[in-house]
Amino acid sequence: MPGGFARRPEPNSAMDTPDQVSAFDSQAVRGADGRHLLLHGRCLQPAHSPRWTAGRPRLRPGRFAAFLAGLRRDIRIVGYDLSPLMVETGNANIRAAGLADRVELRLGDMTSFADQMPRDTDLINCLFAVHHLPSLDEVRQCISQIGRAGRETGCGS
Amino acid sequence: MHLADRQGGAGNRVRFMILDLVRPRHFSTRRAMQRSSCRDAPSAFQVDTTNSLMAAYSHEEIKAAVDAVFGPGAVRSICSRVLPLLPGFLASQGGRGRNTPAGHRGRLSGTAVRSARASASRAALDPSRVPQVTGWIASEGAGTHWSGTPASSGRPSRGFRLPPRRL
Repeated sequence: MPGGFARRPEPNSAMDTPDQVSAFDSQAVRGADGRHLLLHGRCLQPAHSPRWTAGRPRLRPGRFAAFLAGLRRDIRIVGYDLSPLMVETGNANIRAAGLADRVELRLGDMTSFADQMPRDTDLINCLFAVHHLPSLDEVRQCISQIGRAGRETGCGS
Repeated sequence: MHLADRQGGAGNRVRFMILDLVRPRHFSTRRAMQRSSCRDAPSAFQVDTTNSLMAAYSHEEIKAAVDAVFGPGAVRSICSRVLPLLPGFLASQGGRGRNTPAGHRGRLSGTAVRSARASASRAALDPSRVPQVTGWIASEGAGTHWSGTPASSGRPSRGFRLPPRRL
């Protein structure tokens, strides 16, 4: 059996308690988790055209988006999260980093975000988010949204 | 976990990347993950990390979901078998062209493994020293793994495949 034991869905779909948000905020660019994000950002950096706008259905509270925006000063990033507190914390981080003109976090659901995507999106990036979906039905819904967003925005064309 | 770079029927390319945890084989890995990656983190972060591991899907499950939407084989994907619990970087490339993130499987030399570990170590200290990549592969079994070609080399190297490593 893949994984060797039964999957246990996350207790909550959204990280919306202050201690959760604070913990992720403090760890987003530290520790092994932070290194994942940093390497991911380095990998993303050279691979895409200057008009790239990344939409990401779920995110650390703005840290990864800010890091990525720092790597590429010619891109705009729109991120989505289910938790109002994560969005609020993330946008505060982004404002503090002076990136509010290029990075914006919005309230959004990764199973229904296609309509919210900017028309000139070049890449959809879904980082450490899929496992938050409660079942494979929602995973398929999320991936369908990616496909739909791609068709509607011409993502990557 | 998955890299996607799909050429649609109408010529539009849908470009997306999905990177996520893979549920480990052994229940005890959650403890190993805590020890190795978030020992000093706040307890809320540790609990969330553990919950994430337990909630992760298998590579096969995600691949099946992606294939169901985009069609079998339309999206390239890979599950890491190297450097579990740590991010890695491999000098390996399967790109098809400019701005095309890609990856493929093959065999990885000892030199490439050492390079990956050195890069991962450098990344931990100074991410700006990580070589740039043109290719991208991601995923893990409770770790994360990238692949690409150092921008300076300019030529594709061999792909990689390591023996499964039990977690």
